[in-house]
Amino acid sequence: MPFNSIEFAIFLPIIFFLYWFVTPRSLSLQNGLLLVGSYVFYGWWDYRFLALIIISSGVDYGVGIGLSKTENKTQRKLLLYCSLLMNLSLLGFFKYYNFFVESFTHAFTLFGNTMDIHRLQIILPVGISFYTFQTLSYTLDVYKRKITPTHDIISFFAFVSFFPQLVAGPIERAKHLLPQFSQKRTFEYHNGVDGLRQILWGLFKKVILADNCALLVDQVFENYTEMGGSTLVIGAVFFAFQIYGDFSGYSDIAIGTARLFGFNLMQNFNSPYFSRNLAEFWRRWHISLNTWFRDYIYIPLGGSKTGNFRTIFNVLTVFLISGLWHGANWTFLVWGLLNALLFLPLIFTQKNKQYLKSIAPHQLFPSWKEALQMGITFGLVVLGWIFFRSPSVKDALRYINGIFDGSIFEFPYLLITVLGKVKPLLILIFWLIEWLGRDQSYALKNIEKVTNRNIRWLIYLIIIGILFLYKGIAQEFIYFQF
Amino acid sequence: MNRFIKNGLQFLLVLMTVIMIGIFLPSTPKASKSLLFAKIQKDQRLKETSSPRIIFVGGSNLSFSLNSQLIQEALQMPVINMGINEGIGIRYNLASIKRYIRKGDIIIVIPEYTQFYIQNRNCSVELARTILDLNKTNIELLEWQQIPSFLMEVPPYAFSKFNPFEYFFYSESDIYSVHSFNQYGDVNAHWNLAPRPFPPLAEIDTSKFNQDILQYILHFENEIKKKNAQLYISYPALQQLSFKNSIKSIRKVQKELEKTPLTIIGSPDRYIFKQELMFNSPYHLSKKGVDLRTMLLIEDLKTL
Repeated sequence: MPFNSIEFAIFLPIIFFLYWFVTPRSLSLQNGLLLVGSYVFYGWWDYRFLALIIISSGVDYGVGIGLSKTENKTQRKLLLYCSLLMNLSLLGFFKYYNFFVESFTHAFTLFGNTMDIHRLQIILPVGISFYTFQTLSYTLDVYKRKITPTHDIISFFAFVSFFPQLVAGPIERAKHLLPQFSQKRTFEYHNGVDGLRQILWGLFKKVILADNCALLVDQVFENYTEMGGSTLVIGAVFFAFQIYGDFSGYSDIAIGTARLFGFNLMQNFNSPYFSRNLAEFWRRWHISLNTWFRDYIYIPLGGSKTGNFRTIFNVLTVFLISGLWHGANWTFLVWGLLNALLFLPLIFTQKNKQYLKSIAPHQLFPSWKEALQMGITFGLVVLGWIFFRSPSVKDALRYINGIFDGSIFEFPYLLITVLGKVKPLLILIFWLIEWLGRDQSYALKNIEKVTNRNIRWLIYLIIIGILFLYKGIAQEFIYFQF
Repeated sequence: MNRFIKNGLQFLLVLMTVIMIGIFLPSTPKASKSLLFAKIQKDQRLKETSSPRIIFVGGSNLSFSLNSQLIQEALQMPVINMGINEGIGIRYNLASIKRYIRKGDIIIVIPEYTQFYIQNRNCSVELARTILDLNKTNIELLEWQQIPSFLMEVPPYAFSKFNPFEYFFYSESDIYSVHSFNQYGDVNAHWNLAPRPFPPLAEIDTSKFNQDILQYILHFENEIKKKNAQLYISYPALQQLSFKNSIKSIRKVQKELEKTPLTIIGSPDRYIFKQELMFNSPYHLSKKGVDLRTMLLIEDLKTL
């Protein structure tokens, strides 16, 4: 059940009530409740896919126990391969089977032969890429002896399927989340209020920013051959807004929901569009996935410390896998490749470790230089998003070509036709609030500083009113498809 | 925890109070000038015009793309165009006119193609506003499945009463206004205006075809037959590019309609219109387009 649905609005208070009022004295009962609740939450989409989570959880739980009982290197490797094979096979089959079959068939026809391999009608299980990576992190960490395996089966199954972050992250590390299932949770007023506030901001991002931008973006990308250059630019920029609102909004709701149950999830977005170069952007965008790739692929491959050629190979590998993780389409691979090519110069000029702190700290405005850097970085990111959003690489190239067709200085009337005048204004106000809250874990956290309760409540009422008045047409969260 | 629950309930109480006040405040100046208020005049005309008459039922494909006066003159029968907005939906449109139908009336239903893909449980914001702003007791015309989504539209409606843009800084639309209609129920405010850019219709998911809409129309036909009235169904005028984009869903509608015993006027292909005849939406025609579409319809009606 999606976070922006009535079902979830009913589900959440029920689980919350049972969790704190019926099962508060027993950790096992609380974990059991979370497990059952998570399976109901996931099964709401398609109960059949629950089997995949149960298999995945069961195998990794067993592998963890197995690893704790043997010091034999060969046996440990075999256990690790067993987990990798099972998890990646499931992911590969459900997500990539048709893509590889089609690509293989297409490549074969290039040599003048024809080939007919049967395509399968496969439904992609929601969130499979997320929970597969989460459970893999457990096995990899146990294998590397970074954590000790758990023997508490309920806690482990609840960790893999924890409903707030099950279908679209943040992809939690076992090291961070799993111990929280073994600790007694107490309800803290401040955490509860902060959680609700983050949920509210997440909904705002999703319903006002993402869903409204989607109206325009869909029109532009579906009819890009009919659109002028300026409209195509607006379409691409608004897709950048949409994907940020959609995905970071989901993360905010997930983190806020987890806080209601006494859990802390990792921050997944940190004002990425206020980055001064692409390396900073990738440190701030989908942090849980990018650090996963860093820790489990990039560093084990040698990172940037094993020579230039190897560095190029490692960076390309990580970005291409990241592209493929997002979807079984050549557009995602090109998106990954493009980002790798833009990222590599930063490594070789050692600018990838610049800008570790937020832009313009304690200042209202950035400097001219910083504003220019932000603009260029955002432009490069948007260029990548065109490939990400387009149905094919050919379409993306045509789209980019269309931007420079001479009508780039026309007023993009479609913006007003589709969104009216108030919604673009709200989007502008949104970015202003995000800018002012760039040092916080989420922008609305600044409201804490307002000491008068009535004023705080008035602000919440205004936000709720805007949610009702200017909501876009409800769209499924984009990242569910990954 | 007690503090959290207490404050949470207090906040909910404040929220509910705001919503209740919003529901019962009078319609805002902006809303009162919206085209939804045209329903009052249309219902009035429906009450007062003597039968037999031709009553067109549908969404804005009718209000923006028909010249009822030409039909009235050609067929020598009073014409009432009930079309306002697609969002109001065929179910409610039919349910709300049922009480006014009399012997000899001819009802011509022309839904937009998307109407066949709207699920029963849906209640659009336009429909909710039509009920809440015009006549709250008309909630009884909703199907019970629509009530949950109707309730979902109540908070936006209530909050709109506190929206400053509903009272200030708004300008009455030149075409989407209660004043945009002529005496027959056609929007004629755009007849002398230049076309405006608009996006074409996107592809509709054919798997979501709603058989219940057809069943409802058939049921409605049976009901009005008892009053010795007749029902026909036809297809809307549609922009060529949108037709191409939605071809699968249009063919699905055509196929499903042809399976029913309903009398169908024309075909989808007959009412395809080139871009130069469009006004500001895939379903809205310019004056030239309106007249052409009306002439086609008159020809088709004469063959019945």
